[in-house]
Amino acid sequence: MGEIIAIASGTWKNILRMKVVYFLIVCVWILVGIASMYEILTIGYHKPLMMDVSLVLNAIAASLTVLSVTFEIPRELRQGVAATLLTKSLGRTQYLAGKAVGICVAGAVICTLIAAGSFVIYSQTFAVTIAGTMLKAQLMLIISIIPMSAMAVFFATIFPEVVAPVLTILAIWFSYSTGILSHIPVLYGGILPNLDFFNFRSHAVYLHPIPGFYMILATLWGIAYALFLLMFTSFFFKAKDIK
Amino acid sequence: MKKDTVVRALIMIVSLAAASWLALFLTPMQNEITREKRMLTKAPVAGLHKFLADVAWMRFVNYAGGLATIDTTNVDKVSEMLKSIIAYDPNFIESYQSGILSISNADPKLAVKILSEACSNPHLRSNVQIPFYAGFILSRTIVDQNNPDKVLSQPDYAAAARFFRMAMQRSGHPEPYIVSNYIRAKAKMRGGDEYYAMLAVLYEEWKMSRVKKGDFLPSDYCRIPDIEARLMRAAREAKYPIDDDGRLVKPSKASLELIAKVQKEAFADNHLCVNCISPTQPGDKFCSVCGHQVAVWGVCSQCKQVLPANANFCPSCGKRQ
Amino acid sequence: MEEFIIQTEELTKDYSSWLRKTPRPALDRLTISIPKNCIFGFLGPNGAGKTTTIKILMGLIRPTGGKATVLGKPYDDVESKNRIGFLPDSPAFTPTLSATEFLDVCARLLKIPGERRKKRIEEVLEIVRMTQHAKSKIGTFSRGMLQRIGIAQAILNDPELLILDEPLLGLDPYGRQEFKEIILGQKRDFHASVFFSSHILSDVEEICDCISILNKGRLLCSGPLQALLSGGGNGVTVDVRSEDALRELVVFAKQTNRVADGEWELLFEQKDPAVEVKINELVGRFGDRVQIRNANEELESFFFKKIEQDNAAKMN
Repeated sequence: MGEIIAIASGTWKNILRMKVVYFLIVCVWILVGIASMYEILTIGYHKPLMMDVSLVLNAIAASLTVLSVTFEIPRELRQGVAATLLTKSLGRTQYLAGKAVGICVAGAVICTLIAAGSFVIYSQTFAVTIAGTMLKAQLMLIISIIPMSAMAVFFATIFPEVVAPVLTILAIWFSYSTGILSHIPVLYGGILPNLDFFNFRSHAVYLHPIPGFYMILATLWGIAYALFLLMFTSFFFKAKDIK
Repeated sequence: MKKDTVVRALIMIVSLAAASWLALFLTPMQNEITREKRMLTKAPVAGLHKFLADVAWMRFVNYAGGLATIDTTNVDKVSEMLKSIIAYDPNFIESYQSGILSISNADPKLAVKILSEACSNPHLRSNVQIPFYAGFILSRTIVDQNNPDKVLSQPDYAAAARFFRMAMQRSGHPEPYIVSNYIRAKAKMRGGDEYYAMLAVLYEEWKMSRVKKGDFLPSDYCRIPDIEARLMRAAREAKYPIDDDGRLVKPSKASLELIAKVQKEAFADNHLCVNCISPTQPGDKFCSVCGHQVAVWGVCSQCKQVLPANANFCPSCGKRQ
Repeated sequence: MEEFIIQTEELTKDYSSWLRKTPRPALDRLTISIPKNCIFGFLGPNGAGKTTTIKILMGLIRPTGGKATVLGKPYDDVESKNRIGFLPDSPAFTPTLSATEFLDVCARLLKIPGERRKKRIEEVLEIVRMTQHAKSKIGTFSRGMLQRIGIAQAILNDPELLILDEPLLGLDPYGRQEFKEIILGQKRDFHASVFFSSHILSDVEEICDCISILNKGRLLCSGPLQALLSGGGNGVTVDVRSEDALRELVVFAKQTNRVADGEWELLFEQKDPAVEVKINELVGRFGDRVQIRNANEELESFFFKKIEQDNAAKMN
């Protein structure tokens, strides 16, 4: 476990020290704030628009954070950083798990900052308190990083550096988009990811409740799916030559 | 096979089974929580439906705001924009309340169809405006603004009444205009003399409101608030009907019979003037509205002084009442 | 207790696949045994298979055939890595971490307990003379500084075995000298064994006890350095501690070195019978003030000779 935390700490420090991350966060806050100016263009719908914009931008930020690992793992393999680490008493599976955990932590920090800033802007602009549903929707978004990070690690490990980010984005798109397959058990939600379990943007906007029990089950699903995908990836990674 | 490989394979299979099992529970739970999903577009938009609805709404506002009017020449484009908004977000109330209403004069059938679908949206089941707008559109004759000879839709009072009733049922205290429209639609359904029809509808509603517990009541019955005040006004209007030019006309025989029936059954205890069906005050000998002689009430049986409400003794002579 | 710290048996690595065929395997049935407490030089021209061998031993690459054990355990055993220090040929580390942070990550991976970790990091930074850069980001380091950090992370856990791939690359002469002292210190003070590959033959000759030479994936020779070099020499060296003897012998010598006051070393390249007679006569007259010993071949010429012989044999 210590090894996983060691790799994870290196990963999240690496991401959270990039200046571009904070630039991204500030840009998101500005865009959220700009939504308040759309009162006329939306005929008074600017309040729900602001909440929706904050959720969408936060989801994009989460995806970009997860995407960073599709560059990081191939780069570490290419440059020899991975070789240095893997020659310690660190199993390859632990390395992958550490990367996934590191991305989850970094993504959680970034998305929490975005959400917190958005809430401050929202409550100050409209002089309202933040509803519990809004908090829950943002929390579900943060939890969705768990299976997304496993997907990114999978593609980063198996595919070349140029292709992995593209495939990861397509996979995330697919996972959010194919709800029509959700009635097929094992295949969808089992082997194929179903990130739509975490999509409650509409609920946050309309203040419809999100049951706590559902959130717990969805979190467990995210962890189980991530574990499955990481173990699956480890079979490929174990057989890979680290040049 | 190495122990490590076996362990990893085992973890993989167990976690896959766990994820599949959890998905079996999550999917129906999510379908229950987000019931509007079955109405969502199936286009793969990565879960950005709500945001795309917002963008589509802004595009609609920008486009429709630039139009002088929405008529049959441009209603198709406007309708497509509204349909795309609803496809992305069936709960978008403004798209119904502002958007659909704006096309109702140009394509009333489509407007009613969309509003009708919105009525079955479980997340909008407390919305009163949507069924009201549907009923409102159905209760009018709508002609093409560019070609007044072309009738786009004829009134369908039965359907309108259903929607008005739905609006009333959704509200704990329905607005007076909704109730009025409902009664008017039902009256139009009956046809014939408008005043008689209104009185007949209100009389039937009043009778249903008096049904005792355990007796039969239609499943779609919806209690009308202040039914007696409405009945009283309808009886008054039926007794003194006016024509389209604003002139008083003679009420029909059926109207008079119904008015008498209503007065006898509904207003026996209401101390109304039999002539103009206006309420009288305690001690009145003549109606203050029409001057007709009225039965005196609310006075002491001995000294004929006006008694206060709920008096047990006369304050003038002390007689027990 | 293992006698040999590293053993390979018919170790082979072939990068051919059904898509792409390579003309020869990268490593062809390598069999070597490296004794404990020895500084072992692993030599060969570019593409000989040195790095491939090292990466197999560190579990980074899977061999196509054969076996390898390190510290008595299979090459891919994870736990035994706690006892090994490794420096890759082009060290690269996470650029946004500081030197201390990166060493902390390595220390955690090596399961160094928390209370000892910080102290040990400071110690190794002191050894590699990087204390003043402890808090600097690795991304700002020069090649030489990266090499020093690489050495630091390799010796972090006081390893029983150090495996170093081209460790002297990128170091200036001072750096190379310091590094050689570190290696010798590890062997002397911690009884560590060192296995390293290098192209700088003079340094190898200076510090190694044993060597192997690879060429095109095949082992050409392996064994104690002095034994290998002494077998190849044709000349003779005479130590002279008499000026009179010196005057008589110097005319025949190819090279004369003054070792100390009153002491000289004369090198005779060819075994000339007349010279041999003269030397024997002088030994008889001056006794132990004239001593003969066989001249060792220089490692560089030995290396080139072996490679050229192997290449010629392959062409025939």
